[in-house]
Amino acid sequence: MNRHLNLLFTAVGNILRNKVRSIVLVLCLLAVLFPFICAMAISEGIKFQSLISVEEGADIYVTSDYFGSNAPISLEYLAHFRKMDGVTKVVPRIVGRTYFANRLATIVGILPENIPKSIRLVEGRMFREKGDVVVGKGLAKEFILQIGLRFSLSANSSKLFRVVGFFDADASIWSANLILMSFEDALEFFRMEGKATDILIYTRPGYATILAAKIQEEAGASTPDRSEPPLRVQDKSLVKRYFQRGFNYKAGVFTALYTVAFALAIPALLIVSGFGQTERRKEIGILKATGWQTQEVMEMVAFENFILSLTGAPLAILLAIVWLKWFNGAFIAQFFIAEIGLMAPFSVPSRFMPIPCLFSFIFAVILTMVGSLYSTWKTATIPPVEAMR
Amino acid sequence: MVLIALTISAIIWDQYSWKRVQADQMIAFQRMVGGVGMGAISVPIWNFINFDPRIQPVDDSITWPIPGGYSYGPDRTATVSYFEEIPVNQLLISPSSPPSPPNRYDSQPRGEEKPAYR
Repeated sequence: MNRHLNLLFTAVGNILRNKVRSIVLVLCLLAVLFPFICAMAISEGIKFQSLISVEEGADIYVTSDYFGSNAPISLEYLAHFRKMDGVTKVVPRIVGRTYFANRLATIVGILPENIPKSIRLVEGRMFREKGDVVVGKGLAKEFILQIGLRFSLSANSSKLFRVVGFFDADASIWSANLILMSFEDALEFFRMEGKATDILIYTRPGYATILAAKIQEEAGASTPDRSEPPLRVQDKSLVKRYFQRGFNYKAGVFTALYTVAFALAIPALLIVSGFGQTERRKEIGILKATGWQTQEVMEMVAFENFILSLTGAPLAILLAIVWLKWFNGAFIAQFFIAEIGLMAPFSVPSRFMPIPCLFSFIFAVILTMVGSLYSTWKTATIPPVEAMR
Repeated sequence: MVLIALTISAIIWDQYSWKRVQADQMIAFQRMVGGVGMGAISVPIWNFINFDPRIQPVDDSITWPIPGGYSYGPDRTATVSYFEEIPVNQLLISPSSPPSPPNRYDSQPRGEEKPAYR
């Protein structure tokens, strides 16, 4: 035990003595691990918000299917769905896109009775009168919008809107470029009388899948005189599958790509950890000449790497936490959340889970070990005279 | 040791803050709009699937500007989520083979009864 402790203390001494080499190695680890930790944290943050979107959303989404794509659904279906057994609520919704000046915005039209009392706005109030809209923080910030501003959009310039409130930046990342208005206003704006983007069906627990199958079956029953297009029915279980595939697949691809980057970083670190290689060779030669075994030299170097990894990985995690939480992921977040610019107009969601942090430490250990153990072993197995030369 | 302790404390603080502070407004917002947005994109810049596959589960960006050409969706770059249409089996195999269709070039007298499948 004493022998191992002595080797550990010698390793600490080596790190402190070769300050430049140690600092360069820790910086290399920071450069490699920091983007990985940021990406994983943002991915987990968005995943968390997405799960809320899935869980708090409807149980069934019904739209029309025009040539294989989603299309507006007739409001005539509302009465039919309301009569179905197990249905608790049926709500039409409009989700469309338009340009607000030169910025693409999402328009959401909902029924006023769907607004919960607990919703908090950063400023203003929810819509009450015709033409009232609540705008996302991103649009408000970019165009310096103020409460009471009246505007129209070129898609339907006859329709006049008035800004009555701004969403809280913490509401969700998807509220940033959103314009929320009443269902009637959205209908008028898009000139889609009698249609909705989708119909949301809320059901009693356990009914969603059965009802979704029933609606699909009814819609799919082909009769020669049928004139309406087929319906696309998506229930919560399907949406959850989207969620799982959408995140796990891409996060998996990202991790795989990063592993390749790690693999490429190994030879780079091999060179960097060979920083002061001549000195290191001499040191090993002297250690061997004074009676050190190759195994002891290797153990000492392994300790050095372990300590450096224990310094580099937590530093990278701390730096990522500070950057994402305090500086809102400035300059970095745009690589992981598309179309947000250098400074995100909303709180960049980041969640630091223990597993990716543990992975980053393991990666750091692998990197430093691979980078130095082989060269150390090679030096330690040659005659000391030759190593000291 | 200080670094490790700091890091562990920071991770625990982060977990706690997610559980406590941010969820209530997100829940209220998503309940109100019926669930909007899912992936790592806040605006439907090219197609809705990047924004929310519930709204458009088909990536129609491949049909334009060049039909069948490269998809320009920004989610193809370095974001951390990517949605694909989930395939649904729509193949129905008939128990017996359907009647063979008549040759459309065959002369058919006017007023003759049309085949049942038409």
